[in-house]
Amino acid sequence: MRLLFLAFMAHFSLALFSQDIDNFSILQSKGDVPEEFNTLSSEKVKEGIKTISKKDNLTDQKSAKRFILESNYFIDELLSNGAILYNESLCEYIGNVATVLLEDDKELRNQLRFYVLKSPTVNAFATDRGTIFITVGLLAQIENEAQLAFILSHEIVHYKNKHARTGYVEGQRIEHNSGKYRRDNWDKKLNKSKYSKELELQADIDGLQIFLKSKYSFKEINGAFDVLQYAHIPIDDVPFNTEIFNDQEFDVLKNYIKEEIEPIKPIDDEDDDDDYHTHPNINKRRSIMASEIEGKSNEGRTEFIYSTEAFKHVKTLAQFELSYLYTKQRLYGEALYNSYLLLRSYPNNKFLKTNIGYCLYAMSKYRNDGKIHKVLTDYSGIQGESQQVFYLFDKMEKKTMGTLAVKYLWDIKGEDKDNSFLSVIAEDALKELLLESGARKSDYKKIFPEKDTSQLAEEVVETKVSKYDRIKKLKDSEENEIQYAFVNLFKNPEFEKLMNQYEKEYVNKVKDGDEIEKNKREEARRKEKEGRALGIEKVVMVSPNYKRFDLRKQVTEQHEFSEGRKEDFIDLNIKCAEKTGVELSMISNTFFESTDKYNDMSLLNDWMDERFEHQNLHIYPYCKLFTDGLVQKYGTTYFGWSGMYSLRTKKTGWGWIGLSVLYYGMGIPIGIYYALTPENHTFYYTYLVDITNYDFLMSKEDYVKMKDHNDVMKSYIYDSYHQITTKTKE
Amino acid sequence: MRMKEIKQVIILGIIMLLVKLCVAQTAPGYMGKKLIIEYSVTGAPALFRINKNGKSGIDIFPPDFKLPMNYGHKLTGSYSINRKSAYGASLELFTTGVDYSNITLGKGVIENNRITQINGHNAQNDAVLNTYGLTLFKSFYRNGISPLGRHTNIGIKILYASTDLSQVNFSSFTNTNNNQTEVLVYDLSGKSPSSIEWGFTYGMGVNRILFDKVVINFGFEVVLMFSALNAWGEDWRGQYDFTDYTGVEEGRFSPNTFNKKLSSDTELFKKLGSERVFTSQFFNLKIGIGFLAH
Repeated sequence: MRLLFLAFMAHFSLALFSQDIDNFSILQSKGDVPEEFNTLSSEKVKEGIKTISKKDNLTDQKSAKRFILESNYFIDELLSNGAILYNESLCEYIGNVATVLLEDDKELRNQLRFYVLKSPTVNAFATDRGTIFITVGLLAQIENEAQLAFILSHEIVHYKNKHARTGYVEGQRIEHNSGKYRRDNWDKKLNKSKYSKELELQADIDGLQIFLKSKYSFKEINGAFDVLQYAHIPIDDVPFNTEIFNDQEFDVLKNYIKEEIEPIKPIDDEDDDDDYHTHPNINKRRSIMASEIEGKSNEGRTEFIYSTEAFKHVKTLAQFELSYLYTKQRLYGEALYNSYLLLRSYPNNKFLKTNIGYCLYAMSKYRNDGKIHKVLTDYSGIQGESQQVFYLFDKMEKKTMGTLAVKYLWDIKGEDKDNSFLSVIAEDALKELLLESGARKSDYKKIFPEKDTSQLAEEVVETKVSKYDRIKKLKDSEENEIQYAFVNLFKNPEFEKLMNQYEKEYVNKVKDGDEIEKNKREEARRKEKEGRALGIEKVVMVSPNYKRFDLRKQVTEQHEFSEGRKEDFIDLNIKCAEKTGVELSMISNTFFESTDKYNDMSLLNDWMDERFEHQNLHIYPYCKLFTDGLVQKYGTTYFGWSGMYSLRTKKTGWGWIGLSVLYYGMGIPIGIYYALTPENHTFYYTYLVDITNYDFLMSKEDYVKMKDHNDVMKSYIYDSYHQITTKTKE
Repeated sequence: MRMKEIKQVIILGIIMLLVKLCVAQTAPGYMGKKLIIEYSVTGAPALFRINKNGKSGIDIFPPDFKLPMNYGHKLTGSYSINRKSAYGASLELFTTGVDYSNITLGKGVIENNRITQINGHNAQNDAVLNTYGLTLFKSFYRNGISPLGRHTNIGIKILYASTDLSQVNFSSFTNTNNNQTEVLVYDLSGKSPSSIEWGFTYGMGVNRILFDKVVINFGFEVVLMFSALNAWGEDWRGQYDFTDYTGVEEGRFSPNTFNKKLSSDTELFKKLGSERVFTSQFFNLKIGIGFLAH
């Protein structure tokens, strides 16, 4: 009956939550904000400490206490920085599979909460407090519900047996040579690894018991291990063909074909030594599971119980989401190949095409800046057909890469006229091509060539050409690969107009380059001293942050203090904004009023993370594609991130104090005070951006060798808002 | 430095300050407030020279504990012109003692080109030196949160130093090498030696702001009084000072020719005052309290 109900729910929720794949947009949390997001970590720690048994020895109690403290703050940070999805169709689906698994143990089921971690890696992990995380990467790779069910069974055992905590406590015993490790502890790392593997095997074996109670096919256990063993391979492995880029007389791949593709090898090969690993060798796990199910019949068992359709939908969503996750992490080769694979099934999908266009645009920028290796994984480490993608872009000349980006973006821009993001990056790619990659307008032909009959004659006289003719010819052949790329685009007056405009800009840049650079340097120096006058009336502050670390202590992060002080930091932001006349909206990561706010914060944090990774490169973040919608919502384009870090360390400069103590002892009281108090350091930052653009309007990073007293905090915060609101003098 | 030049420096300083104040509207100050009015006490232990009470030398161990100090009072106004700097001015009164213990003033009696007698006066009490100063300075806040936090001050200081001789009594004595005796009464009435000194100041301090209004300050100041530099390092307290005698070639009481640099007793008092100005101003600690005025 319950399964029938679930089946009905599957159909219903699929209809309710399903995303139109043709208009795919990134995944976002839904429904009400779960309670644990808005409960203070300190309260969770208090509750957790109550569960520590007084019968344990004092060292174990201390270790457990530290585990509860560290793990709760760690998990809450993960929840509150927007890196996870809740109540989304993926989470709902996972939850429903768990319900199938724990049909007979409702109490246990009710203790569990499933969240999807926005990460492309293939992973799942359980925490001690009932929160289980499954990555998008895992959902994108699994083949059926039964595989997911086995993985969930494994994680449920980790939670049920409190493996995270016992593993930590045991690790501390090993570290401090206590208990049974008093005599035999010559290799601590090995002992820790051994214990961790014991827990993993226990989770496999006990998990199997949960799994077997359901009707899921246990043949799929092997499939689940396959997913783990080939987690380093993309969602599929098919040859990369550049037909999506090609045009009449323009075929980029022909010059960059890798003759031999690296064969695929599984993780944990037969001979792999797992002595120092946290998890046992997958083949060993496979064998143990096989022996456990030996002789058991698989009859009546199935790959899907909850819903085949829902699974397919969830998997597709996860695979689409992968393109986003790879791109925002600047793994452009991975993103491009992932989108390429999906494009085979969804050939007109705008999201995928835009994603590929963006990857080309970004790689072209990095290539021009000489930093392509930062965003393109080394092809020699890639296995399978995707290696061709990495090889292609590794070998490609910057002019060719820029040309390819421009051509592809302008082509798809024509197909997707409403996509303002595409227009912006297409124009920027063209500007980049002419201003930074060394391409000139004259490099591109406006008409396709007629059959060239003189080529044969040229080859005949090859032996008679001079050294300089040969060099020129080689150069021409490089340019030849791009010369017909824009023949069709030249028919677009907007394209030609912009090309002329950027060509002129290039000439001016060459003429006045030094002067412009000098002015920029002077302007930066002036801003440093006098501050900025941005004249902005309304800003949104995202995820204000405060942390204190005491490097003199074993647990360096002062979690509880930071939690309270963060509230002060937020209050002072509000006060200072009010005093300076800035209209401030706050998207705090301490308390989420609504899921809407949580999603906005998550998206904006992604924007900023990505922007930060680009450093000084002028490149539109990919997240702009999704954040532009927030401008209307918040009534401003200006978003800021601000935080303070307080650091306490041991004193170092004893010279003067020592002298003053020695001198008639008059410095003794000062010496005592000096010895007992820490050295304080305070770091403050505010970054303000216009999210429709890429430049930092304000990048304020301050350091003071003082404690973060209220007056210090206020000074820095007030200064930020003062700079934001001050208008430039006429 | 002549008075005219000093005036020029002051006027120039004021003009620079006003120009800066007009163009520096982007200074955030502390929560919008940029002007600090502050009262501070300056002081340093009287290690080698006496304070106004005639005490010097320190001993922090009981039962002989003593920590004589020199104190001064300062009224300072400073205005943040941007997040890294502020301009300011301060008025100060600083009092200390001038050691007269070895001062002997005398007059030789000459007969047949020989000193036959010296009529001298030994100082019985020390003098008090009052200084009234004006400092114009610029503060540099390297943390960029002027007027809060650590800062370095660099400025110019002008001092009016006046030696108060009212407590100084000279007792007379006579030395003779014949029977003639002449007793002189040394007249100090109307003598109030004073001088104007100038120098450069360098200081460091930390400002804290409490309740968004109250400013507290700790720091130190090093002042190099250039005008008093030549008075420092020489012992003006020689045994004799022949105020009305310009040269002796022979005689039992041959004077120290060194003292002939000084042409009058007033000049000696001035020199002693200048030297004390130099030493007392050289290093001082500072603790202040004030408020954010505007």
